[in-house]
Order: sequence, then C-alpha cells, then structure tokens
Amino acid sequence: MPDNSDKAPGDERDDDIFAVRVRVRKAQIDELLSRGGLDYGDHPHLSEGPEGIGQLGLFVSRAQIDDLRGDGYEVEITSNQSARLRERLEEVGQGDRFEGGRIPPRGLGRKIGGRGPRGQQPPPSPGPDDEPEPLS
Amino acid sequence: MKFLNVVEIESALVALNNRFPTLTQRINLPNGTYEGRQSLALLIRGNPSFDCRPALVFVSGVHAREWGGPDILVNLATDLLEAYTTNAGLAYGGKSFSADEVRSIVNQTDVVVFPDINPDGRAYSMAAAAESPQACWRKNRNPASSGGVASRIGVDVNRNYDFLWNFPVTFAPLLAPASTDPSEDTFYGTGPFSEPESRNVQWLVDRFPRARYFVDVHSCTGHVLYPWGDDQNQTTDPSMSFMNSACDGKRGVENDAYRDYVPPARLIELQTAAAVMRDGIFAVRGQSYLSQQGFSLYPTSGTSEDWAFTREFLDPSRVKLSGFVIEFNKDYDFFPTWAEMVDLILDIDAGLVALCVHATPGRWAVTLCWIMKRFWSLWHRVFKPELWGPYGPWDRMARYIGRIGTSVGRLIGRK
Repeated sequence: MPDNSDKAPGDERDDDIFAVRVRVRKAQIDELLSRGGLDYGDHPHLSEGPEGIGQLGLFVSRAQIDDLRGDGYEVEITSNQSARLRERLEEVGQGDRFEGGRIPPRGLGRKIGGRGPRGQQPPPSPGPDDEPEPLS
Repeated sequence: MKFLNVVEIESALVALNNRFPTLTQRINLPNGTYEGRQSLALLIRGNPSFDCRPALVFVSGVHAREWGGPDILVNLATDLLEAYTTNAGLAYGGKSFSADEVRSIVNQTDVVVFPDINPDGRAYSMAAAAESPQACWRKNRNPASSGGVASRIGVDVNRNYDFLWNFPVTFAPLLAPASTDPSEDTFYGTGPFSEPESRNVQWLVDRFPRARYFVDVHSCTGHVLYPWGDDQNQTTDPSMSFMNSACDGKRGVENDAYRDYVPPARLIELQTAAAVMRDGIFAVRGQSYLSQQGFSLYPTSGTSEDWAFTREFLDPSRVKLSGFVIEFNKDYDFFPTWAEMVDLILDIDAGLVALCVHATPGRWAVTLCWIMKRFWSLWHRVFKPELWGPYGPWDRMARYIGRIGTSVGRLIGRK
C-alpha cells in the first residue's frame, strides 16, 4: 500500500525512485511525456478527475520531483519504491526451494470437490500418430 | 512462501514437468541472454489426440522490477495441474471453476507459460545489495549500446518487438512512444527483435500456430489492455493501419484524423476476452480493474501485445491471435509484500483461468473436430493418394481419356 509520505524516511538515499501522482490536465500530458526522462511504467495512465484534470502515475527521483514542482506541477508522493524494494529483499527466496526440480511447488488456489487422484493418463490415451511434436 | 528468485522459477517448471511428465512438456527457449541464462517455458497439454485445441500463451517477467509476474504464472500452472490430477475444481477467493472446466482446459487447450522473459534483469533487481538505480531496473542487461557507462546498459524488451518499432519515422514528430537513448528506461534497442528475450517470445508464439490468446503480465496499474497501443482504434478504414507506410509520421496523436484499424468483429472479440479477464479478477475479492485499449493517453511502440495482434494482418492465413496486457496491482507499487502478492496471484490467476475457460472449445466444436478427423482418415484410406493423387492410375486414366476425347474432337472438327 502507498505510504503517502512526502517526507524523506530515514533510509532514503539520494537516487531513490518514488512512485508519484502528478496532477495534470490532459492537454499537458504530451508535453510532459515527450520531454523524456520520466518513467511512466509500461503504459501511461491518468486517473481522471473533474474538469479534465487527472493524476498521472510516474516513477521519478527526488530531483525530478523538485523539477516538476519547479515547473508548477502538483506532485503527490505515494511511496519510495527503492526503500520498499530494500525491505522486500528479505522476502525473496534464497537458494532453490525446489532443489533443481526435485520438489514441486504447491498451488495457492483452493482445490474443491476432488474425487481422488486422476493419475496422469489423460483420457483418451493417444495413439502412435498422435504424439506431440518434440519441443527442444 | 516468498518471491521466486530466478533459479527457483526455472526449477519450479522442471519440478512440475517431473511431477506431471505426461501432462507437461519443457520448452527450452533457443536464445541465451547476455549473461548466459537459458530460459524455460512449460506446456500443459492433457490430450495430445485432440487436434483442434487452441493455445494460450502467457508470458511475464519482461520488466525486471515487476517482481510478481513469474510467481503468478508458476502458480497458474501448478494450480491447473494439481486440480486436474485430483479431479478437483479451483477456487480463488469468490471465483471458482468446476472440475469439468479444469478438465476441459487441460484436455482441450494448450496452456503455455513462459514466466521469466528477462532473467538477467530480475537477477539484477533482486541482487542482495541492491542500490537505488538497480532497485527499479526495468530493462535487460545487454551492454551493447552503453558505451561502457553502467547507467546506459540495457534495452526495454517491451519496446523491441516488431510493431512500428522505428518510431521516429512511424509516429508523429515529437512523440516518444519509446526512446532512442540507451540511458532511458524505454530504450528500443538496435532493431526490431534485436534482443534475445523478445526473440524467445517470438519463437515461442511461432511454435504454436493455433495460438489464440497471448497475455503479457505486467504491473502495476490495475488494467487489462488490448490493442492497439499506437493510436485510437477505428473499424471502418482498413487502409489506415500500421501496415501502411503512407501513414508514417501521423500516428500517436489523440483525437486527430489517424486511427488504427481493427476489423469490427475482432474488436468485439478483444473487448469480450478482456472483459472476461477483468470480471474473473473482480470476482475474487472485488478488485476493479479497467479493461481498455492500450492507447489511452499516449502511444507505445514495439510492445508484445500489439506485435501479437499484427500477425493476422501480415499473414491472413494465420489463426487469429489476440494480444493482451494485464497490469496487476492497482497501487502503483512494484514491490508489494508477499502477503499482498498472494492476494494478487489469486486475482490474476482467476482472470487467466477465466480466459482459458473462454477459449476452451465447446462440445459441438470437439465433436465436429472428432468427426472431421475420422472423415479425413477414412477419405485417405479409401482415396489413397497413391491411387488418386496426380501420379496415380486413376489420374493417369483420366488424362488418357481426356487426350482421346481431344483427338476425337479434332478428327470430327477436320471432317
């Protein structure tokens, strides 16, 4: 969830990247995005508000936030993505929990109404001319 | 549980193949990455004897920082296989799928998952001592255009597909659907498909000529997007299209004269399938994703979903392939906690399984396919090519009779 903090947290570093929402009119977007250097993710999205003004999501540095504010844009910082990654590194698997393929993963979806193992032979059994093409 | 690291993504696929050897095939992608990694995909194919199965190709992990994508696809494959082999249905929060639906998906479609397109980038983003610039790393790790400068390493693989790749020519002046500058996050590379990661996706899709759906899983805006991404859609003028070089220099500007062509029936199909995924996601726990066209504000070039959709225009004999992007997580956050990620996995997997159900041929189609297969088998047995083909005796006899007829006709004509 966004931390909605505009203040520099204790572990902020100079080149941290922040998720921000910039208040813009639709007409300003071309100018803003065509200047380059602004990371809008994969596709830019504007959460539209009243009177043609919306919030454009960007991922920018502290210096870029200052530049945007200097140009008169209203910028709301929603999270420090770099800091969140540093926290999240503890939640990355270490080593290989599946031991090179010996231990299969378990699915998170709930299995409902199972009537016992089907086994692995799908009905109907394939004939010799039905072999799948080999995939290298 | 924790986020999968690069090694675990691959070994999870190997483990699924080991556990379910008759239901799955490992697919080794041919192009190694810059750092020498070989990528792996997994095919789920329950019933090889069913010839009419459509394929669904699901890919993720193209952007290094979008951590959860591979976890979503590995879980999808695991859930389908576990449910199928125990005669069970599947439930994701408030969305459930019956055992019949799971069985039909596995037996009557090819489900292909390629969870980690860009392993070099993911490994870099997940490196234990992550400094800020690499924390939000998006691109691959190809240094060819960097000139030895670390910040200029990498190509945005999702600007490297062959769809209006050369944007300085194909788009209106001053627009930046990608970047020619290697220091930018959307650097488009040195040519369409210049990167091994995008070539692997192309190769994979080519391996499944009956592919009907292609979904590229990204984060983090809460959208289901369909083509086109270069400009607004229109359904009336086929000449105004990405294929028409006379339209170069005009694309990408909202509400102007140029819009890109989608056949009306295909637009309905795209919107319907996007809505199926959106509704599947919503049913889990009420997350309202928006399904809309990729171009909503600003254009993109060289993206996977648009490239997938171009294929039927470039070669009309191909099966129609619909391309989509899912942007999971509405919170503009690349790095949710694992607890949050579990909810996101359930959301998106429900949307993808819903699409699988949507793509699964109905009973009539299965029956028709079975009848046609038997019919052609019988036809070739009765009318053997060696008897009825162009060099068989019947054909020779027909040609001989034809020649006699011609000769007789000439004789009569002379008289």
